[in-house]
Amino acid sequence: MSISNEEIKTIAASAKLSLSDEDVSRLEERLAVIDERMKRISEVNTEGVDSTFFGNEVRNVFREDEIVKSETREELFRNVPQQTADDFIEVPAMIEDGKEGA
Amino acid sequence: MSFFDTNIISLHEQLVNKEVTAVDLVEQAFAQIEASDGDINAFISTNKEKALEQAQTIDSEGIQEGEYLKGIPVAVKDNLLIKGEKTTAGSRYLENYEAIFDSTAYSKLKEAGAVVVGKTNMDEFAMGATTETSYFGKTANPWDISKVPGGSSGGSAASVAAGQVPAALGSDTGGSIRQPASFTGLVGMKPSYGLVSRLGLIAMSGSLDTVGPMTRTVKDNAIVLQAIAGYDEAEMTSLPDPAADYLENIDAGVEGLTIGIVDELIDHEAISSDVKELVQAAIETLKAQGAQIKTVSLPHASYANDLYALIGRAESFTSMHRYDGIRFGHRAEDYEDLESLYVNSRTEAFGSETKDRIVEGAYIISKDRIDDYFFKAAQVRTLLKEDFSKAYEEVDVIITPITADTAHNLAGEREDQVGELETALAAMVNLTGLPALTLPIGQTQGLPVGMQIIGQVKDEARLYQVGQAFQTTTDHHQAHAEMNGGN
Repeated sequence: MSISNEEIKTIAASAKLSLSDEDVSRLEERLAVIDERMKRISEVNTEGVDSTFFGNEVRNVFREDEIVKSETREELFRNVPQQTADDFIEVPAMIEDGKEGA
Repeated sequence: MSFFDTNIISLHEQLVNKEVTAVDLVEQAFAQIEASDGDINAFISTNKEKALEQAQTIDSEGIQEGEYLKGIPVAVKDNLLIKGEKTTAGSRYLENYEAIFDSTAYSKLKEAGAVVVGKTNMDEFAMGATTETSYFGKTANPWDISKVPGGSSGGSAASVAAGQVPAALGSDTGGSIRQPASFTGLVGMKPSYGLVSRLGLIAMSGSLDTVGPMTRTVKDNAIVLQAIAGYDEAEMTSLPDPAADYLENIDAGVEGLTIGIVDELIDHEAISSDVKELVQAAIETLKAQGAQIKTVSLPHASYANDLYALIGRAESFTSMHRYDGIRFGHRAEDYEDLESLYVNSRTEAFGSETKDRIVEGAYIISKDRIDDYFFKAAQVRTLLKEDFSKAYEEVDVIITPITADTAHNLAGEREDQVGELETALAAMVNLTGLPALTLPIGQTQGLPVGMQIIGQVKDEARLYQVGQAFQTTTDHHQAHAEMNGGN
């Protein structure tokens, strides 16, 4: 199953990445290896076999619905790349294609 | 004084007897870092002032007998959050990221009184096996600075192997503690999945990631694991028990122990003859101490590398979503709209290996492929787990090689067949949630070789017993890199 350069770029776009031509040709090879891996495991008989999605155990832990101290606003904003004067995270407008003045 | 001539236990005795202070140990660490890290580049960041302050506090509090880690300088891989410090995961994306909470592994080390001197270099987002994909430069193997230290915990390995600190924390998703430990002559423990909390560990592949210690001796390793293991209610894959006592029966020996050997793995053609010889010799050593050897089979181990890639990449794709240029980390300067903010920020600030793995992950879970690529892999993973369960009906532990050859050159390539086997040997343990200990078993051509001992879930104490039995009758763990300058 070979994959077109266009499809590789589309998949990358779904991962919010843009690829150079060099990236695309490298990925063509790498995805071919992924295909081979899929083919190899396809030969294993897994009829009636459950799936394993976790390492060992996983459990939901609930706590009482009480207010507890968490991070401060200052901490949460410590690493915000762009902050407005009135303490919001600055992001592009999303209405009307995010064009200025929207 | 050199960390090559001591270990955590002997340092602890010196501290308790006031022959040495915690401040002395921190100064020794930094003296060695200053003398050697120009060549080695084990650290991304260090904090001498903070370490000295902590050491001073510890000296004024005093150290009680049995508080083994109190006053001991340690290094922490830079994918474990330390509040107020930069945590970069080896990436440009997090170059300036200041953690706002402590990882559980770090807070437990701190509670035990260990003094963290800095954050160690790693492959970007742990995606690699040589530490060469780090945004912060390569790390060299202290045994031969033209060689790789391994990865992704290469900085942690190099730091201990260069005598900068007696212990370091690494993380292991597909061998990233065990392989660098093997390349640098260290003891590395990949604990059972869930034994050490992942809270504050920057995620790579959620169902495979673990945190564990790297040290020069088995007892030191047990001491560190003791401190960091145990139930964390804030982490939903945390195993529900408190840490076991890993030191209590560590000297019990291997009389009556049954060791499983998988012929196809021990004799694999990709393994160098020197490594095969050393592994055989190590097994003979354990036999001589009363262990029995039995052949076992792991029929699905040959798929381990395939499963690791298919499951690992899919999970990494998800782990990496959060880096979106909005709330933290790198934001591109140039963007026209939200979409290009996401794309430019991520594209600029991730290295090529990271981007490749994300795209592979997206490919694997795409709608038309997910059944055959990911869900099928999840079923074969169950069969691999069952292979191990069946084997453990016959044997107590399983021994395999961990690296098929010694460390290769920086900027060099590892032969495909060798790399594939090594990934399988390591990843089959992550896929099944089991613990595995790697031990130094000798050297060939001046470079260390390790061996892997795989246990049953939560059987770390037994792995330490085997390792300790080996280290009481051999001295490979006492060998160390020749460091010029410092010690």
